[in-house]
Amino acid sequence: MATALRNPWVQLVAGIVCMAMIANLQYGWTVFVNPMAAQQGWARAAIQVSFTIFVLVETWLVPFEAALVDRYGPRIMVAVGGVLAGLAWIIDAYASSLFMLYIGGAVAGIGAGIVYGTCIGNALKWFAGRRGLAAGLTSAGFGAGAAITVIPLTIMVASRGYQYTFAFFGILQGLVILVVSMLLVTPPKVPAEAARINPRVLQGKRDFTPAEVLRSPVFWVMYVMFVLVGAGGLMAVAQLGPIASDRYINNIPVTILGITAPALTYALSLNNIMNGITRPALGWVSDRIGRETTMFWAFLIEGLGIFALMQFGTTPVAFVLLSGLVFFAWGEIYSIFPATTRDHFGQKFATTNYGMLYTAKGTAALLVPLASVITAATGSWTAALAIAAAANIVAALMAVVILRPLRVRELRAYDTSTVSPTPAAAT
Amino acid sequence: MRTFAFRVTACAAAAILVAALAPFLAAPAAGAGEEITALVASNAEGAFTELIKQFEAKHKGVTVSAQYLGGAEIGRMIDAQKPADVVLVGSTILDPEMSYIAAPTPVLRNKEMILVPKGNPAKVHSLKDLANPGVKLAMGTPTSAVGRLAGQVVQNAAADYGIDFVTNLRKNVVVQKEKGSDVVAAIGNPANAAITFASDVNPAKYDAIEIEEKYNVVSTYSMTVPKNAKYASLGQDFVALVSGPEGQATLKKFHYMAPK
Repeated sequence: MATALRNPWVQLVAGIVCMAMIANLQYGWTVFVNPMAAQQGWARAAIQVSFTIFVLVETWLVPFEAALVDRYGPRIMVAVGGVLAGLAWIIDAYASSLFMLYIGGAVAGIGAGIVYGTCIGNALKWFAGRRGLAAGLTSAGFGAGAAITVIPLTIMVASRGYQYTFAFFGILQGLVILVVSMLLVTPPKVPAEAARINPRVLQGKRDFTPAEVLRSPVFWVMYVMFVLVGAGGLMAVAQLGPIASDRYINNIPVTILGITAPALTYALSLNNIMNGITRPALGWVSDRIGRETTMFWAFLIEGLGIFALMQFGTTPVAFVLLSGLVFFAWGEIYSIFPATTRDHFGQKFATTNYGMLYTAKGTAALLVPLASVITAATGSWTAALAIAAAANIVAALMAVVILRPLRVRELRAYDTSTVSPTPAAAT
Repeated sequence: MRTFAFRVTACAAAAILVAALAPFLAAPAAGAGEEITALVASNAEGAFTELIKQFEAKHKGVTVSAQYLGGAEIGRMIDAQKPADVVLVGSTILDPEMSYIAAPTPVLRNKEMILVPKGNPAKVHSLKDLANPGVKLAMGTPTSAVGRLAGQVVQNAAADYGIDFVTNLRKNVVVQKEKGSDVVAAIGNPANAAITFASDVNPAKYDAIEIEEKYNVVSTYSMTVPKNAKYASLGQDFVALVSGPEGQATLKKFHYMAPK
């Protein structure tokens, strides 16, 4: 049994299941807002403060939680995360004041942050040659979980009330995580499939401590790129509705691949699907052609795709297809960046090190309101989208002009034998 | 001595009674110099200016302080439980706010209409003509009720006229405004046509062209009293006036349709 558990694929599937079980904390929340407002008489804006607390705690505490994971291993931490994730929704079920609801949001953020950080870190540590694919499949589980449970969640809220649903799903999700966490085992110091590493993927053999990572220019270049691409993508998502309404195509039915839906609804659904597919898909591509090369093409396509959306997305079909292209090239940041972090900074503190980079997601989210300010100031979404496109193109160029050479130099400085002999692979 | 003690006791009892009643004595009595707050969808400003006068005439000493706002803004104010005594807004805005308001009363319906300057210089005779070269079109912004509904009209017509109709019509848009009254104000200069609310029709200034029923969008507006209204009773009186024969006659004068 113990040997069977030490199989990377068993560990990967266990991580995906745990990620799916915390997905509702983020993606299922919206189902509860109106019933809560109706039953408790709370303003929706006040209820949403709880969600903001969740996002902030989930994002910004990951480095600290991840440090515990690197120290105590994944099993105990995911078990604790599962209990907290379950407890959070039980608190929400019984919350009779907004303060209690906010406590629930904070507890959910801690639980989800632990599970998210641990599962991604575990995937990075178990895999070497397919690290991008593993990180991508794990992060895709976060979205897939919501896709599976959103319908039963909605039906139960309507039939049994929001409090029952919170309690039921809280206990169910917490229990599943608790049980599956028992399958998780501490990864080996060197992944079993280390020999499979493609020479195009730069690898360091040294384990950087979190303090060393924070002093590394490579980390900060990646941080800036993560923020540029993350914020750019979020800004583009936020402008999809205004663009479609402005062009009078938001409600025009579109039929693609036999499915018919209003253009905006289609584009938003495609966004979610593409966001899920791209994580493992481009993670897999990055395992073969190198991280920086994949970043370059993905970010460039996203930047050019946003420009194309602005210029040519005037018909419903073009709008849907171009927005799909933009979002296909966006979601992979959640697979390529963790994989690159592990590649460069080593195995021992991989969870903590990616946890620190993951806070860039929170920084990116803080920049998104700028899009509203720019749109209000200019009276059009054009400037905000142009900035989003430019941010992606800058990040694409940074991948090959700054990041790759910087990584080569830094890894050579530590250990010349660890550097791939093909530094030009990124171009 | 007994008389003195009785007087002291009586005074104390009176003081306690006055203190106990003070909150009630200070509470506003309907019709005694109150100012009620109304949140009104901006496209109904003309009609409601008149309806408010009628209401104030029937409620001596009561004044109505009206704020004319976009529907989304009114929705946000209800959601944030900002003080208001009566509300008029598109019915769809009220759907998610039911926990904060009394049951809404539909009071009017409105639809979109094409307005052109007298003489119709751009020769616009139907919705389809708005995509013709030479048309300079004024519309509401997509975030406003007038613009959102006009956009839906255009998209409904695209089913028959094709996507080129939408593309060409967009090229003709020279003015986009947040308020219906500003859209109308652009007719003549710089626009030679506008898609706006039927309630903006003014035969003395503009010619009106009906939009085919299968493309048009009819929106229902409702009135309600928020649960936190300070003057709920007066708010209900206002709803009763607008939904009653007198209010409906006024709304008809402003080209609104009666609710179904």
